[in-house]
Amino acid sequence: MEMSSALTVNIKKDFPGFKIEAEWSADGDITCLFGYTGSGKSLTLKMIAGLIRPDEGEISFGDNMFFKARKGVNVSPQDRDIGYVFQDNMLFPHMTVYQNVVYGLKDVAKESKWICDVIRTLRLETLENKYPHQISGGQQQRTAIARAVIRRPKLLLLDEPFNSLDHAVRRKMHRETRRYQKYFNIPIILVTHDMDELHSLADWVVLYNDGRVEQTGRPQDVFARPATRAAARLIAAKNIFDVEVKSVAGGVAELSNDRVRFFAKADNQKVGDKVVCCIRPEHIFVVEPNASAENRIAAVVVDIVRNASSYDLFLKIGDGSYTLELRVSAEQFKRHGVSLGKDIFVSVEPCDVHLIKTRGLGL
Amino acid sequence: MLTSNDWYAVTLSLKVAVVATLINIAIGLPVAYILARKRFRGKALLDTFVTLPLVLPPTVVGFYLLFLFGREGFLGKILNELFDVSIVLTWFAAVLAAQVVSMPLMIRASKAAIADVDIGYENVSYTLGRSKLYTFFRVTLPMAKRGIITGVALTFCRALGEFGATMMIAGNIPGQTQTMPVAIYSAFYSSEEYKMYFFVGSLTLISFAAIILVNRLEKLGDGNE
Repeated sequence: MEMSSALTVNIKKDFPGFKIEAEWSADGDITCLFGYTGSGKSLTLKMIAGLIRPDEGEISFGDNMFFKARKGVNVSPQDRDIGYVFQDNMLFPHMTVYQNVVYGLKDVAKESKWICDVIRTLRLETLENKYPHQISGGQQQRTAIARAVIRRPKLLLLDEPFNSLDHAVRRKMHRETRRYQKYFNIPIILVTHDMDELHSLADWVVLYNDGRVEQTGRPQDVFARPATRAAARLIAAKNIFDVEVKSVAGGVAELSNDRVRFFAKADNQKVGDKVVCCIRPEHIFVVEPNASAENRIAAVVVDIVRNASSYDLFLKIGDGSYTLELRVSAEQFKRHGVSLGKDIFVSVEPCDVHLIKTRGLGL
Repeated sequence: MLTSNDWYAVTLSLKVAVVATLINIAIGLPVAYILARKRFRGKALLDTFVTLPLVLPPTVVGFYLLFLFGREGFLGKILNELFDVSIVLTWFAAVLAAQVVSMPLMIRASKAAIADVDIGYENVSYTLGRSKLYTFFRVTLPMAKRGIITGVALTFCRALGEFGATMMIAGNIPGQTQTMPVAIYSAFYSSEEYKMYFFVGSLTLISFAAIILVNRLEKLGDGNE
């Protein structure tokens, strides 16, 4: 992506009972705004589109200044050349699929070839004369996308567009979205709270938490190295501990507090440092009672949640005041005879114990 | 025997009701949109002001209209001096009376219908490059159609049946400003029963027709939703 298509967002706005203050920029093909419901992601999208006016800040896309509070610049949504697919797609119920799709086109007669192209790419050929209530959720969503891209916008905003779709249809739409993005060559800003969606689509992720940006980066980097405790929780690095560095030797740091002890890959820690470490549930595995393993922990199974092809285990460790969450395959589950109330041993590789750098107080 | 004045009353009533309704659509829709969508200081005041003619007794409304448009009235004087025109005791006064008392019905029904249209649809339209005016006519209005048609029907029927304010400001001049409701009153007092039945029957028929027409229009709208 050329620098000229970078989106820069720097916004502040007060709502009754909520405050949003976010600053980030996006340069990839698909940028994901990720976070819990109500953290300000959709509001941000609406501000980028010009539907809501921030109190302060500025929003620009390449050479275009959309909003600049200090200069009194606020381009109307009509003039921002942006495509927007809303949650619940919002197709006009009194218009056919075709009429919905061409709604934003000023000169329909001249564009018949392009219209055909878009309809074909979104696989809507047989649906043109149907009304929104006569087609399926996936078809509605594709219609909404066609309607948004037909004006050849410079930027496409998707607000949790696949929320109401079945799981299988959703996965299919993920693959198709990549295809549309490449075909129409438009950068996309996608709002979601679904981690699968984030992983399949995003080149860049902006983590939202309670109206603020927690961290930005490539998904793999953010997931491997969450920068704050809140970021760790957001990306479901569930097992988060406050520990102190007891010793450092040969690239391995010993971390402990009065209830747990881990060995982690050292990263410039000094003895006495107070750190926060987190471990992803997938990185913990069950071991035989007398196996020799790094970070071997004795635990009791207190809860089991079954998934389609795995199990989430909740264990009490230490003096029982900490809960460890791990994910095991069905095979592991059976092999070790895991059951409720059973005493088991688990282990985690030191390199999977991730240290969140503390930056003074207020982590 | 029915005289030409009696037939005049029928056509006059229809003319008055139609013109009053058209004026109410033209004024009422923008006001309804503002009340449904915008937030501003004094909105409650506007809402109250707009509802007032509905709640006030028609003769009170007639009094206020007389006060404004009468020969000594504020607006009446201006009209007289600038255009050498006097509204009272003309058919236009009948229109004015009918329009003012029925406007609240149009506005309230339209306001509710417009408010019911999810603002998200209007937002979609803006992001697709369409102006607010275009959006109003191609998105909001069609989606609020049922409520608005109901408003129009109510306004028409109320305008058709307006009596008190009409008497005060348009008078009761047969062949000139005597509308059907007023004619019924006259016929009743002069014991011309056949005339009374004629007008009552006409008004009832027209009202029936209006409702049937409205239902038909609504069903037509349902065809593609």
